Amino acid sequence: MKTRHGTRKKNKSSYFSLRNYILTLLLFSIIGGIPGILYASNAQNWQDVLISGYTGWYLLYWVIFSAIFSAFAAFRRYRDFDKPIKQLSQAANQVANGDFSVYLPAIHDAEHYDYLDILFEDFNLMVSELGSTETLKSNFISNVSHEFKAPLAVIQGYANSLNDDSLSVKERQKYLRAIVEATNNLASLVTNILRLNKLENQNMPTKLSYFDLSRQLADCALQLEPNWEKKEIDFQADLLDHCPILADEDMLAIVWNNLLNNAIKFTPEKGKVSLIQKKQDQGVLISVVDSGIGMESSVIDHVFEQFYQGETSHSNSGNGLGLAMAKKIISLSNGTISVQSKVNLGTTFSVWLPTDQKNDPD
Amino acid sequence: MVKPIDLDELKLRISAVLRRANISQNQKIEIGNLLLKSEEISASINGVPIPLTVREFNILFKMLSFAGRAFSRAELLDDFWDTESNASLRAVDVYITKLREKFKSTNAFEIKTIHGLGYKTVIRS
Repeated sequence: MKTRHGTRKKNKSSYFSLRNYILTLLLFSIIGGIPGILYASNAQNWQDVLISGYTGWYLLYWVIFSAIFSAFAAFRRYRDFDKPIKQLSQAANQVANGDFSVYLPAIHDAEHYDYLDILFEDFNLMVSELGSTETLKSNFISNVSHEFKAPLAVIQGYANSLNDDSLSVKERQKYLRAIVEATNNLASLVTNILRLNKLENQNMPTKLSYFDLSRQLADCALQLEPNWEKKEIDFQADLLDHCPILADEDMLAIVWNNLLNNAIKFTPEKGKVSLIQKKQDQGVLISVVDSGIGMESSVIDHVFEQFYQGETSHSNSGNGLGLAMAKKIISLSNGTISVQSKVNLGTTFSVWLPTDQKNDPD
Repeated sequence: MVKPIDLDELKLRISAVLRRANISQNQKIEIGNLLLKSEEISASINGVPIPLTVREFNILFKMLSFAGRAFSRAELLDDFWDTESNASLRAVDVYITKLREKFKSTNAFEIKTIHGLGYKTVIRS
């Protein structure tokens, strides 16, 4: 047995088992034959039984009968069990060798499904899931390489151009700035990919601690104040005074920064962005509302997928991983995240997180 | 931090650390006709002293040291009120109002409200 995609040795099995036959013979001849012989031979003791001619015929009878019985049983087993299982075994081999197009049709019709048909159905489901994982993996790899190519091209191009001695100081500075920016993009991309990968493989957030969510939201929002000031956006915040929560502080900060950055990015000048926090259902609901360009319903369905970027004109800043990461972080924190949007009217992202009721001062 | 280091993240973390350490090298702040001296905990406009409580002075001094930077009410509360005091965020609002009232005669700076979040000082030259 080798690893995936290597060839696997097929196990051979035969249809006839000598052991089974002999067991069947013994069973029938002893249990079935004794009353018959005793009755027919009129023997007084067991030596007579053996000597009488019946023993020979008796044995012959049972040998033939057992053979017929075993053959019949084997045939039934073959038709109902062996053949489909061999099919399954073969299909499994194919999948192990990398063929995800394998499909096993049901043996019986829909009204007479038995456990084998259900097994086939489950097998088909498993194969299709494996296949889609493969597709996701290759998509991810090609997306990542694509994302890397652009900044690498910038670095390569400008670095080569810097070899030219006749460049002015200004030109040199400009090229160097471009290189620095591209390397920053790459570093950010790698960080995000690693983070996302780490999150995908985690079931629980790493460092849980008690902290004030209201304070965190205020701090994250204020950090972006230069950004919304520059666009003369009206930023309104309506937060609770205190909101103790048990969660991973750094991870949640990533979510707020992402949502707030997006809201500001996609809202035109003099627009409006609101950050609202209120208690809801044993937890707290945080809404980021913007009056920006919004999203089509077709985009909304995919917005939390990795690398997905709806509006191509904004796809140069950011790398399509932010919302996928946000979704993962929120679900690891036992919360929910959802989005509503109308084109040119705006978007609202809603995050709900559970709060520890015992520590709630109100 | 995880390698490769994201420079933006590094910058944010460094400024957060500095903020927490209350780094402010200035012994005095002079803007236009306004003068604040941290040793004496005094403030004056055109030489005329303005009476300030210690807390009022500290808040103003810190905000002017980082003029243009927005401070959340929670941060000011943490920095300048005892952890034992049960003061709410409203207390910060009250102090800002007091400061605005006391310094309305100078146009060296103004304290801007960032609705629902906090305050920042803006220097007017």
